[in-house]
Amino acid sequence: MKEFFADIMDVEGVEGLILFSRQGEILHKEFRNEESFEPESRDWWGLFIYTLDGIEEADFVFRKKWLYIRKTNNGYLFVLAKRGAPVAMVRLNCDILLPNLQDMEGQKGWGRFFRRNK
Amino acid sequence: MKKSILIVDDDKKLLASLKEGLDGHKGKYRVLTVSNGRKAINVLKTRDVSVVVTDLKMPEINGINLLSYISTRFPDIPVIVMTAYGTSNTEKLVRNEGASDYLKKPFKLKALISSLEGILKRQVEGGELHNVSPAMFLQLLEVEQRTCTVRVIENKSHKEGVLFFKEGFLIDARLSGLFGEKAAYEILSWEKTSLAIENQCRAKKKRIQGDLQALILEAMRLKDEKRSVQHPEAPEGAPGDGRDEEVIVVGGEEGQEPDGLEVVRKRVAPILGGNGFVRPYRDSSWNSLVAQATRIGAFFEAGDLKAGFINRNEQNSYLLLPGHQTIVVEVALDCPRDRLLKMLSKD
Repeated sequence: MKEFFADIMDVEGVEGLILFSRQGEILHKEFRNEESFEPESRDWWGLFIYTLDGIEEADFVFRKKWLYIRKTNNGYLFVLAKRGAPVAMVRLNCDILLPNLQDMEGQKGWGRFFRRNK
Repeated sequence: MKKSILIVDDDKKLLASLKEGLDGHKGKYRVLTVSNGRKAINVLKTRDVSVVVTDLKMPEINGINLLSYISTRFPDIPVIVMTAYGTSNTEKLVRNEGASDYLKKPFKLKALISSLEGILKRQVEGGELHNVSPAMFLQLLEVEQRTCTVRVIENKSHKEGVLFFKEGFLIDARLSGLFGEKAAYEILSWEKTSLAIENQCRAKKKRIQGDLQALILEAMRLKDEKRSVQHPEAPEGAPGDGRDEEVIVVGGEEGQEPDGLEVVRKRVAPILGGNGFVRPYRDSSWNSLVAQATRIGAFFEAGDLKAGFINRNEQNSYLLLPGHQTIVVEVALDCPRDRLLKMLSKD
């Protein structure tokens, strides 16, 4: 899974990402500094995911950071970056990578994340 | 006195059926029905509502966003959530967000009535008083350091206001669309009222800073002033499409502060040109999303939320600026998003 998101994590200024299911469960998380954040310690992600219903993508600009949110087949991808990071590169990498994330329902193992190439 | 129940659901048959059932129940309820969250918000701003019963899945503003809005702006109004699609996780989510009860459709009318009666009973569990002056009684609450929510009905006009006490301190007040000290001054100036006391403080924010004695004195002074001088009344908010009317401050001078909408327009116009966007407006239906994004920003130690961009795969996208009422600018999907966000997030 780390390899799958490597291109996004490699964008300068990106601090981390979290992949959520449609129900707000954390499917994958990765931070440049592994001790940075523990999203599992909060129980309100599900509510936010629910509130995002119908939103394809969102940018939230904070004083110090930028949060990019993109709808995926599985749920939502959150990408956290420093202010001033080349956000267009993050979006471009999402455009390229995320269509390969397959709907997880009914599948097990890492294979559930990847679409089979026909 | 009848309690007003506001039912929100896009299923018109269900609305009619619930209205008929509740209207006929011992003459206790006056039922208002609307088909979406936006209309519900307009009703809440202009009418006194005792309880809201809302569906979850609705177009425009869904039940969760409506619940968040009510929990923030009208914390004294209990909300019953009903849904056909819920899971135990959904129930946990809505209760965490402040719902008083949760009903899984289909349910019997009896279940809804039982829920309503339980909720309304809790609102008077601390006692009821009739024909009293609130100013005199509330000083007792201060002395006893009570934590409670007091619903006040003015005997002549039947206006309903709410006062929130925490450990004897009056921390907030609400009267229709007025909040904080403005609402408190009005309520405290009433002479003969009925009071109902709920043994918990439902306010989440401390909007009132002064002590009760000072508030009562000021309320009396304003009442005397009103009697001797004619004041123009603020225009009532008309039901609209969810866009909030600009608040008009009675007695203030025009131009004291820069108009937030005009500041945004001036920042956006040079980038998009005069016709490239819809004129900025305030829309508090976005407040819930903005509040949750702010919470996430705090979790990530990101600092204050400056601006947001939302793409719903519609013709227009939305630029959002946080505030008491979210400022919204509708722009084309292919607008220079990053330039706009950079401009809008400047201090």
